[in-house]
Amino acid sequence: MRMREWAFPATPVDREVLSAEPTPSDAGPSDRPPLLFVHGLQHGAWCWAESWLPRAAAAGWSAHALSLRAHGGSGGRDRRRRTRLSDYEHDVLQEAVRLPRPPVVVAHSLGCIVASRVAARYPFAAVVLLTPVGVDHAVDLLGRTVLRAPQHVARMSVGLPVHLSEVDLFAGLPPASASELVSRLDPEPPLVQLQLLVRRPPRPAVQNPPVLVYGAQRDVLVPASGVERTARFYGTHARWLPDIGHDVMLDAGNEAALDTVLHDLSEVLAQRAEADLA
Amino acid sequence: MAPQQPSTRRRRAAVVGAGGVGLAAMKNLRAVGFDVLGFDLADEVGGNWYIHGPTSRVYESTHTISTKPFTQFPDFPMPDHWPDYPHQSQMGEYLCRYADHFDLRRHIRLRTEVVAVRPHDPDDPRTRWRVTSRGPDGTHDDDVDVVVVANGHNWRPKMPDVPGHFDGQVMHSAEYKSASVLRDRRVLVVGAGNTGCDIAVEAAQQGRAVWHSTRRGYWYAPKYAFGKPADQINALVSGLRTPMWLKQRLMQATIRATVGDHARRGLPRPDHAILETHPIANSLLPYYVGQGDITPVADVARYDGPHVVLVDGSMVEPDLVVFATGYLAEFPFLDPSLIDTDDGGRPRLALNMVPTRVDTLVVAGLYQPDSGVFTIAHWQGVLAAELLDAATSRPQESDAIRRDVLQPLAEATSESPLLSGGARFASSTRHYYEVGHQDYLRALDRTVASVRAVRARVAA
Repeated sequence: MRMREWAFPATPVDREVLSAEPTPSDAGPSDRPPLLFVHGLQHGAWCWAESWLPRAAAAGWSAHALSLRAHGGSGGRDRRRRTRLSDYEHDVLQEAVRLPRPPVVVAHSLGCIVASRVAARYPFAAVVLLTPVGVDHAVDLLGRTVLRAPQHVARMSVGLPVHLSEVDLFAGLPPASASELVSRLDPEPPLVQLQLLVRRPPRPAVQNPPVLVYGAQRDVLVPASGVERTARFYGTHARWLPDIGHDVMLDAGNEAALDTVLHDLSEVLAQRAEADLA
Repeated sequence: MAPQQPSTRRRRAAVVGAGGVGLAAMKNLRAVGFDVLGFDLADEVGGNWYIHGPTSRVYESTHTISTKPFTQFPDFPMPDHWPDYPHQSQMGEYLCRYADHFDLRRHIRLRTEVVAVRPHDPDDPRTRWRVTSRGPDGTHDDDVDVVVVANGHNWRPKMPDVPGHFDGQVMHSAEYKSASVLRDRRVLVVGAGNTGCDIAVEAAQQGRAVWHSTRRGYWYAPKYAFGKPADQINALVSGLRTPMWLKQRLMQATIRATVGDHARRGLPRPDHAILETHPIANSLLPYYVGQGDITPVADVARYDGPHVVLVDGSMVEPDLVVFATGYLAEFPFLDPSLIDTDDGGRPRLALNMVPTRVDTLVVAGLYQPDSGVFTIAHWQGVLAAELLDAATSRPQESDAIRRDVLQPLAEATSESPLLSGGARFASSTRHYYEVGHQDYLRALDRTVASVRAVRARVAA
C-alpha cells in the first residue's frame, strides 16, 4: 500500500544517464545483465565516468550511471528543498526499467540506501553495495563523524548542507586531483540529509538476488559497523577493498577495486544461474 | 493422494492469456522456479490493450480512466514523460516492454487457442492438468502441474434482447473501433459505462444527432479535480482512512460543485450513491449534454421499423444503434464446477481467485476495480505463485494454507466489505467482480503475508 506515492507521485525531472557499451570484440556472454551505477551523497554520474564506466565496458559489461535529481547533469535543482529519498528511488527505478533487462545495481554510500529500498520492490539481477551508509540508519556514521569532523554534524543538524572534503573521500590521491574532484560535489538536499539519520526498517530484496557488500579499508567516513550490519542483513559477509578510501571509484587503486568487484560479481551470477537451472 | 513429485523435476505452469494479468502471473511463477507456458489468441501480447487482437475491445481513442500510479505495475513504472491517462497504444507498448524486460516472450505461444484445460484426477485437490491448445502448427497437449486462468472477462458481448424489427444498423460496442463509423449518422447509444459515454461523446463530435439511453442515472466524475487527477485526490482521501459514507458524500458534493447538477441538464438523477456502480470518468459527457449535442433518453423498450421505442413511450429515429452494454465472463475451456460457478453462471471464488476444490489452479484478473488494473495484477501474481509453489512442492504447507488462510476467506467475494470497502455494489452482471481498488489490494497484501507466515511456521 503506497498511499503517499499514489496521491503524490514524484515530480518528473530530466535525468542524466552516462553509459559505456562494450565494443563487439569486448562483449561478454549475451546473458550478462547490464550494470546500473548509483552514486552517493553529493556526487553525480560523473564519479563513475572518470574511470569505472569505460573500464567496465572494456571488461565486457554494458555500464550505465545515472545522476539523481539535483545532482550532476540531472534536473530538479529548482526543487532541491523538496527533494526526498523517495524521489531518488523513483529516479533509480525509472532508469532500471529502461534497460533491456533487470540490471545489477552498483551503489555507493548513500546510494546504497536508495538501492536497498528499490531492491525491496524491483528484482535486480544482483545488488552490489559499496561502502554502504548502513542499511537501517546512519547513526553510527554520525557518531564516528562527531569525533572526527564535528562541523559536518553541526551543519547536518541545522539543515545546512555538509561539505565533504578531500580527507573524507580519498586516501591516496595527490592533493591537486583530490581538490579538483571535490570541487565537483553538489550540496545534498537538506531533507535527504535528515532522512539519513532516521531509522528505517530495512526490507529484503525481492526475488532474492545475489548481494555483494564491500567496505573500503581506509574509509574514514563510513564506519565498519555500518558495512557489517548491511552485510548481515543480506545474509552475506562484508568484503574489504584494501588500501583505498571512501570513494572507491575515484581514489588511487580504483582500477583494482573494480576488477575485484566484477570478478566477484561474475562468480555469484554464475553460481546463481547454475542453482536456478537445477 | 497423488504421489509426491520428485524434487529434481522442474515444475510446469500453464497461463491462459498473455494480457497484463497473464504476464504478471508468468513473471511471478518463473520467479519461484516454474517453467512457464503462456498462451494467447492474438499475434502479440497485451490482451485487451493490443487493439488488433481478436478479443480486444479498445477503440482508437481509448485512454485509461486511472492515472499512471494506479495503472502501472509497482515494479515497472511507466515513463515519466507519458501523460496522466495514457492512450491505448501506449498501454499496448507498455505491456510489450514488460514482456521484453522480464524475458517472458519466449515462453508464450501466440496465435494459439486453449481449447480445454482438464484435470488428470478431478478428485485430487493437487491434480496435474492437461492443456489442449490449437495453434498455427496444429493441436497440442501439454501436461502441467498448475494452471493460471487469465483469459479476460471483458470480451464476450452481452447484448440485450430487444423485441421487434429495426430498419437501421445495430452493433455492440465490441465492434466499435473508430469514430469514423459515426460520421454524419443519427446515433442512439445505449449504456452509460465508460465506453457508452466515450461513444456518445464521439457521436456528438462526428454525428448529426445523438441520443444516449441509460437505464438509470449515474455519477459522471471528472478526470481532474482540485488541479490534480481525480484518482490521486481520491487516494489521499482514502489514505486518510475516511469512512465510505463520508468519502461518498465528499465525492458527490465535489461533482455537484464542479460538474454541476446532472438533473438540470436532463440527465436522470442517480438512484444510488457514488462507488456503488463502476466509476465513470468522463468530463465531456455532461459538457455535450449541456450544449444540447447529446439528448439523454430512457431505456429501450422495443424496435418499430425506423423507430426505437423507449420505456417512457417516446420514440427516436436513429440510423445506428450502438449497444455499449458490457460483457460476460466466460471460460469455455474449463468445466464450470472447477471454479465454483453458481447457477447464474458466476464463479464464486475466494478473493475472486481461489477455487475450493483444487489447489493447483487459480483464476487471475477476475476483478473490476474502481481504479487501474495492473497494480492488482502484480499482487495477484505474487499470491498465485506462493499458493501454487506450496501446492506443488510442500503439501503440508499447502494444507495449512487452505485451512488457516483460504477457508476463512471463502466469503471474500465482491459483496464482502473486505473487497468493497463498504460500498454496496449494485446487483447487475456488470458488478459481479467489482472491487474497491485499495481494499482489494490490502486484502491481497494481507493474504500474501499470512500465506508466507503459515509456510514459514510449517517449514520450521
